[in-house]
Amino acid sequence: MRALLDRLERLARRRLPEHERRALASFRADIDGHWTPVTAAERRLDRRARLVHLATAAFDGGVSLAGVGLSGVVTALGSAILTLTPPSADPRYDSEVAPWIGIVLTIGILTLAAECASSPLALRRVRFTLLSVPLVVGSLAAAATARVTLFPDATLAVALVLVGVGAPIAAVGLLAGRPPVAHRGLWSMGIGALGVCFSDGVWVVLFALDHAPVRALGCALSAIGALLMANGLLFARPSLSPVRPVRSPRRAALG
Amino acid sequence: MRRRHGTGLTRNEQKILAVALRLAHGSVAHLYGYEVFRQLVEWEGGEPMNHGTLYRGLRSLVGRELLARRDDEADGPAPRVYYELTADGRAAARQATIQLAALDDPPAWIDLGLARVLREEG
Repeated sequence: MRALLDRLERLARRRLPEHERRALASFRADIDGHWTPVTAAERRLDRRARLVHLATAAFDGGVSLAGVGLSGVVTALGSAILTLTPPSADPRYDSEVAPWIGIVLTIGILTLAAECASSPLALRRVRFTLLSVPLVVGSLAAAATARVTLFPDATLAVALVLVGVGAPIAAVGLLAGRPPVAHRGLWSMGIGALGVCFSDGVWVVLFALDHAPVRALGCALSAIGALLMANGLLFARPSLSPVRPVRSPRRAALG
Repeated sequence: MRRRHGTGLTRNEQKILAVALRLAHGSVAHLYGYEVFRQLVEWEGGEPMNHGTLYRGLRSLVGRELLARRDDEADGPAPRVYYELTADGRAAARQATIQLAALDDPPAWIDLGLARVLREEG
């Protein structure tokens, strides 16, 4: 339990700014180095303290992309459930999106989540660009092929286009070293995520009324994840990772 | 945690300031997290403030500029971070000590004599 809390806390600590991370690491090292809980009451106190440290690392220090990392997992789970569940008996409830598109979209959400969790304060140019490719392909393909019969279908299609267009804009901004362009791309993705949240929220109700609890669960997870993702994409202001100077082997040999 | 009227500090933040003031009176001007925790464990006995809450309190007091933070310049994976009462922090710590002493059930480690002197000083 203690080891698990510490591991989670160290992971969450990545989202804190450098000086905060150092202060927390120093404080924890000092306490752990000098104080060992012995009695049952002390062990209880220590467990409570570790939970507070985890909450501090996870939720303090403003909005970062770490939330996108966490929410991406929830959204991907919802997306996977919807992809793997048999279609509804009501043909109006079938989006007619090919399973491979659903799989690519799920992979895209997971890769974006992994990248955001691994670097929550700074966008890494090449990694973000490469890892957003499945998301772009999946969301644009889903928007282009989904059958639009009900109002939430139309919202979802527009939302997916916003995500599919926002990610390349963010990538262009990153590769060109233009933070405002990159942030506009993230903003477009965030608005798209809000649209997905709205659409999936309506579908939760429709599937629940249709007695399709598994699909309703998939939409609920997708909606919750999309809302958390929108929060991170709209309000985090990640910096751009510095560009490492590239030196040709010949120039390096010449010193 | 509910913020107290007047000072806008939580009870735990008041306690941290009172500890810092008491230690400063004992000529310990530069505090570090473990030292405050050790004192709280020693003074409060059974149910001291946990070190997670203590860290949040220290951080909040630095944010309010009642404590100044200084990083140890020594190299190493986790150099120690020191805290010192600022001028505003000293005033807030005096008030916190007086308020804690005036409680129906004041913490046992509050120096009531010091609190009385501080109250008379105004």
